[in-house]
Amino acid sequence: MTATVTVGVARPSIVRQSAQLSRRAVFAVLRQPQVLVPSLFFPLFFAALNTAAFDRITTAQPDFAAQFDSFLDFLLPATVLQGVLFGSTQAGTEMANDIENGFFDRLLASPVSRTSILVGRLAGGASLGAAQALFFTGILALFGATVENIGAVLVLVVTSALLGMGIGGLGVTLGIRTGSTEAVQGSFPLIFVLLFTSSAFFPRELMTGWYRTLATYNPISWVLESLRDLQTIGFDVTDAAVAVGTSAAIAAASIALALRALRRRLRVAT
Amino acid sequence: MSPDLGTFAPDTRVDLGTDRTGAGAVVRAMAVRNLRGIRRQPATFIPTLIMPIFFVVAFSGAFGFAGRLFGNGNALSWYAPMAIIQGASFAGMTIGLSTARDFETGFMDRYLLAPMSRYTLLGGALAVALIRGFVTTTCVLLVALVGGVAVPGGGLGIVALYVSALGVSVIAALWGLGLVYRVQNSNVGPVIQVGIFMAIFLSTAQVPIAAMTGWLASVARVNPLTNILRMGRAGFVPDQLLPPEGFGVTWAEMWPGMVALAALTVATGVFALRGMRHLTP
Repeated sequence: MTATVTVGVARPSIVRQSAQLSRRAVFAVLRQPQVLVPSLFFPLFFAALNTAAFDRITTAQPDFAAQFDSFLDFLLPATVLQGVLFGSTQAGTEMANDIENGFFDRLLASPVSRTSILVGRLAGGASLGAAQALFFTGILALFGATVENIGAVLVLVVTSALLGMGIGGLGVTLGIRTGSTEAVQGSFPLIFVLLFTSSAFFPRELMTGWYRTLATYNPISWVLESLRDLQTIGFDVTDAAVAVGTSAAIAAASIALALRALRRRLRVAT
Repeated sequence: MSPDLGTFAPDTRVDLGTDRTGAGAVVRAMAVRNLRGIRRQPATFIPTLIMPIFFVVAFSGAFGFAGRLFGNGNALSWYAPMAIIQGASFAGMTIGLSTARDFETGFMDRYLLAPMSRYTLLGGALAVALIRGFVTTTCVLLVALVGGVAVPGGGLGIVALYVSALGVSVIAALWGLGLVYRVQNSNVGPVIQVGIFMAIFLSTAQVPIAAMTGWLASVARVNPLTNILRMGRAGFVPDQLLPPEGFGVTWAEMWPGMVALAALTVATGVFALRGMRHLTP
């Protein structure tokens, strides 16, 4: 007698696979508080420190004082983006870690969609970015930072999610290409430079020389300055479009790079 | 009657070549080994050079407009000594991190088995901290001078800066070693970095006390790093507390910094020495 056994291996949709992998990415970070703490602590520390250090100098400048009540107002979007950028490097580290400990190979051996490996990782970064935006805005608002309208908060959350995905995508690209957590972590100073050469911590109007030129062409400055106008002047479609559009462009470019790196790795693996 | 075997017993004393090497030679050997590590893993040292240079550029580019606030109309003169001292602290901090790697790779066990004084472990590490601190200080200072920093305080101002920077390098190394001797792995790295980072930034690193508002001014006043930075800046900017005749290196600017350096060296030294008790069961 012959028995036929049907094995229920109905393949879940790509969306469901991505959602599962995204959930795994989020929990991987939440389970390691020591990883999360620097991206929460340092932005708040710098916000408190820089407000105390630079409030008097900057509010004495008429142009600055016309738009901002305090240096903390000026720093709010920068603090959010600093947390998001610092935290998003973790996506690349986790991807490299998966490659180092063999989990990536197990994923490749399973019937999971290749794209969802990437989408899941980046969606996890986007979720954390959005959560960080709400966290930092809430904390700084408690300490007196001004947010003129709810639209500004929404744009800040969307922008943070997109940048979490975008900068996370660059880390993931590096993680896939090198398969080394050390190499990804070594790229951290680049994030630092990207942030410091923008108008994140210092008003561009007060900068001088080539440093000002550098900040003018840094896309992070465009995002931050639009967010600041939304936060302190009022909702404006152009400002919202610049902030979201620039972040979306960064995200699209980094996803394209990450997909290319993934395809290359898969070619080598097979 | 048992025979007298004394005359037939072979001489079991074997020369194992364990003549204890002098402390100076051990310290020198440890320093050479650590410095070779820079060539093998430049990624562990290069950031200690690049970050201070970047800080000089970033802060002076951003706050050039507020030059008068810093005493001589040039923000670069205010930020360069800070960045140099910060670079030296990074150089000292790397000693703790490389010692943590020695624990993880088992090399520290080989040190502990070697016939040498435990204190030479500390001596070797401090020698490296001084060398690395000197290299970082010299490189960043040269870049700053090329970038337009003036030293109206002359040679004495440069000496004051080197004393401050090398002292901070030793303090950072002792702080890192004290932690690493206790934890014995590289997970302690962020704690070392955060401690040093906070100590420097909660002082007059960014702006003079007169420009600060709220809690930071109170913290900076009691932070010993404020006095060390004051000594390091003595040859670069007019002293904030002794206007207007205070431009130049004066004893009044130097002694609080020296006292702060000595106190922190003793405190972190005791911390590191007590940490050494964890090295042996």
